[in-house]
Amino acid sequence: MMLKLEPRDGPPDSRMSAALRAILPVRDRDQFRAAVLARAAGLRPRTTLERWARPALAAAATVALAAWVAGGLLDAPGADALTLDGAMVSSATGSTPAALVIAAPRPPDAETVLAGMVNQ
Amino acid sequence: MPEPSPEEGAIVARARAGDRDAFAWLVDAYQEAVRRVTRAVLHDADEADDAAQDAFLSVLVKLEQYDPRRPFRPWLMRIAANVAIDRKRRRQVRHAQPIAVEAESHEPSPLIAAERAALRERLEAALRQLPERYRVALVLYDVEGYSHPEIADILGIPVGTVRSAVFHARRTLRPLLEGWREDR
Repeated sequence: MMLKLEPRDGPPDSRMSAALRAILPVRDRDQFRAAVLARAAGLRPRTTLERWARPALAAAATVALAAWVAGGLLDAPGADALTLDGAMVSSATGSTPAALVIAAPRPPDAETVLAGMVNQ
Repeated sequence: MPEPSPEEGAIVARARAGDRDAFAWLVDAYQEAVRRVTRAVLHDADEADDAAQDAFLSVLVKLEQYDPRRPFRPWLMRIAANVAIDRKRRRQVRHAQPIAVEAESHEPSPLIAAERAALRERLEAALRQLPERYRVALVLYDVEGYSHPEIADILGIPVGTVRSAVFHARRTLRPLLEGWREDR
């Protein structure tokens, strides 16, 4: 039996092309075009401003988050922070040093307590 | 595949800048190739046209990502093939604007029509039996005129795989073309 060899890199086959065009017909070009353009009309192209908007918002959010975290660290309870406890003591006793002593995260320094008593 | 004209590059640039007339030109120029490729993947003409519409809309959205130094048509065909393959995998029923089918104007005699219909059915059945990759590669090679490396780029597969796909697809369909005349 003789094998009929076909080249793997043969040029496009016109008969194959015609057959494929026939069984995969493309009809109604104008209607297809109109359908695509009608759907495209519903799509608004993104403007340059819009293209920049998303990264800009992301950057702003990152900066805000970083500021919040840094602010939280800076606002950690310290010696001069007036807490709710401090405000209550201050209003009850009329003594700001007493309020600071109550609000302080560490035990009061003896000199601070004495200085407050002397001032009172 | 014909070389891209300078006109095409300018029109793509205009479409990229938001010119809808330029986009319409691209739809006109490439709808046949796009619709044929989606048809090769999906078989059903209506679903293939839906996919082809989706492909053009995807192109419109992605135009800003298109690198104008590269040829436009393979980029378009890659999007079309991917849209069709993705659609076939998902098989979600979506309804694009339907396209009415017009009756052909010059009907052949009933005998010739029956013969043509039978041959077409056999070819369609044979094409349908081929693996998806073979069908798309064959259409891109024999109908659209892309080279093996271009098809490999479009489909994201090795050139050797494309060569093999076209070869096997042709070998399957050729016996059925014995009775095929090009004026059909």
